[in-house]
Amino acid sequence: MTRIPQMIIVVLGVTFLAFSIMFLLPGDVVQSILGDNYTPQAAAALTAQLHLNQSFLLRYFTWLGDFFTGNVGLSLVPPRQSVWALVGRSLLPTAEMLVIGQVIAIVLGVLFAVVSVTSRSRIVDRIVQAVGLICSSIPGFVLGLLLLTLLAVNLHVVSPQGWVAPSSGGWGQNLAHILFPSIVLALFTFPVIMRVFRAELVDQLDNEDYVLLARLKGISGTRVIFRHVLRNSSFGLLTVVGINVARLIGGVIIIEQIFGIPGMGTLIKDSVVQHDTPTALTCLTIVAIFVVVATLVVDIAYALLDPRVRDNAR
Amino acid sequence: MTSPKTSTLPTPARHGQGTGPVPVRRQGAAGLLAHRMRRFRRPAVLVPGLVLVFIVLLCFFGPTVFRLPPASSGQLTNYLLPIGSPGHLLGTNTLGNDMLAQLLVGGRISITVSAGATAFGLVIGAMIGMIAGYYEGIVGGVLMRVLDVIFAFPDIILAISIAAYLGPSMTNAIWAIGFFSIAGFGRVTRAQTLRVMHQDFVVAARTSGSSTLRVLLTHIWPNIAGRVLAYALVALGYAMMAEAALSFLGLGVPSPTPSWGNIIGSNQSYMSVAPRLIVMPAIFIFLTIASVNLFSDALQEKGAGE
Repeated sequence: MTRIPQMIIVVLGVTFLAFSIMFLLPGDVVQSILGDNYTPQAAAALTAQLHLNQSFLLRYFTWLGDFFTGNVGLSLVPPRQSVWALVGRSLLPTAEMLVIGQVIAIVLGVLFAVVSVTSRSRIVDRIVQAVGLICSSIPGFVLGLLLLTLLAVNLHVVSPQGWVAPSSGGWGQNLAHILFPSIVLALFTFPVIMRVFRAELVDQLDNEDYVLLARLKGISGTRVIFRHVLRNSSFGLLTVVGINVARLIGGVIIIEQIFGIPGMGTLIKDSVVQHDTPTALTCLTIVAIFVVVATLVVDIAYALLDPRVRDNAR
Repeated sequence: MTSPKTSTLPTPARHGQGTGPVPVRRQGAAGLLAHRMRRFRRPAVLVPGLVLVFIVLLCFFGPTVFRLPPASSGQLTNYLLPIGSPGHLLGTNTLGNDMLAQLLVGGRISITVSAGATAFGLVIGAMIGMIAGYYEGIVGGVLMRVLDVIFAFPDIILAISIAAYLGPSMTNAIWAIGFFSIAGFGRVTRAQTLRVMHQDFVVAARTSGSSTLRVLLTHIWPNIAGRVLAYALVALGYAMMAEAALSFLGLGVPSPTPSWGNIIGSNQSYMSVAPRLIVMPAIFIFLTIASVNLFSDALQEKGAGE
């Protein structure tokens, strides 16, 4: 398992890149925090408190130590709340959308791939390909806006916007509101899953001896797919699902804007635009570490599930 | 620097033993070119290719040819004219600006930004990828970790951060989007470099004393250029999506200059009153990205067997 030391290096690199970007952000932080209370003494005190008078590398390592000990400080935007409180509040909507979106994307991807492979008709295959093309060629926010216009504004099928915290409206209300954005998220990410899984299915069906054996034994086509090929193709699926995590997170930031959901995407966008360095830095790092860890988990799962990889690794 | 000319020159036939048979009878460069062009003559390649060319020509020359008014010169008295109004073929927006002019000029911006960003990612990413593939040891490992780091940031988040740092403008959008496309190009180029690295012609060139730069540019690059450029089309689609998203969030090209993304963003609140203001740029974005995707699919299908 050489992956884990590699991962640690990448995580450190991620913190460094995030810190460099935020370090370069222009704007006088001290001035903007103090506002009307600006006095030279207060400015000097705050500069020292935020380590602003130290060198870049020293500040990076100070921040790195603070980050991994959980001491990420206060947001610079009034009211200066603790960054952890902001992140903690934003985590739930995003996590819900990611999980529900990923599940729907996998279901859609697998379903469409199986339908297109099992049905012998060219037309069905073409339709499936077309749906995939359409969904992957419309930017997520456009798809979201169009569906929102159609379903919420014109047809009143879904509630237009917003986020209901489980504490205020109960989990039922909460899930009802998060479902539609999650579906939009899934719609523009599932084509990748579908394409890779379909290619994998075709590859297995055409080239593997066990498929031929099963066919020769007189097992029906659908049964071959569901009992044999699906299981063997799931490794390919696992890899795409891992890659899809990063795409989903990129999509979340946009979808949250359209639906007005106060999640991590909104927090990142607002904090970056308002030059709220501590918040932006913390969010960026958390997201990137999450992506790295998710990729690692997928790799490990792959190794554990696939005997060929497992035995080679020893 | 990698000159784009090396990519289009059909040189691989000279030392292409490892990459497959050399099917062409020696007919000189013209014959080889004709052979290469033949694969563009299938409808699956031709149709999206022509649509793409049409959109590009329309956006870049349309406003002049059709004598459209400048994109943001509208009179408020003309606001929200419907499609087909005299003088305003696609109507006007809430500020009275001609929608057709907005869409075409906006397309010019969107296409320029995504093409520029892709070119930037291609040049930097291909260089990193080739070096990482050529020096497989420590240098390659370090470069791959650098790409992993860039890859760990979801593209749009990285673009938002960089664009917010640089400030919204067209060139900054190119930098921001170009930066995150480096990682993809780097990975593809490295994999392709590794594929040809140990083939006879590269080994021969290295043992006969060619300089590293020469081996990379005249022996390796011509043999991997096809696959890398095929990926460039995929990357172009991503860049277009990113440009639209960035402009939509107000971090791309600043208004009043239109781009497909910021037309949608600025009309978002009118979607129940005049959905056409959103639907029309959406159709343009969709047509362009779908053509790019179909074009690259069709080329790769053919390219796989070659």
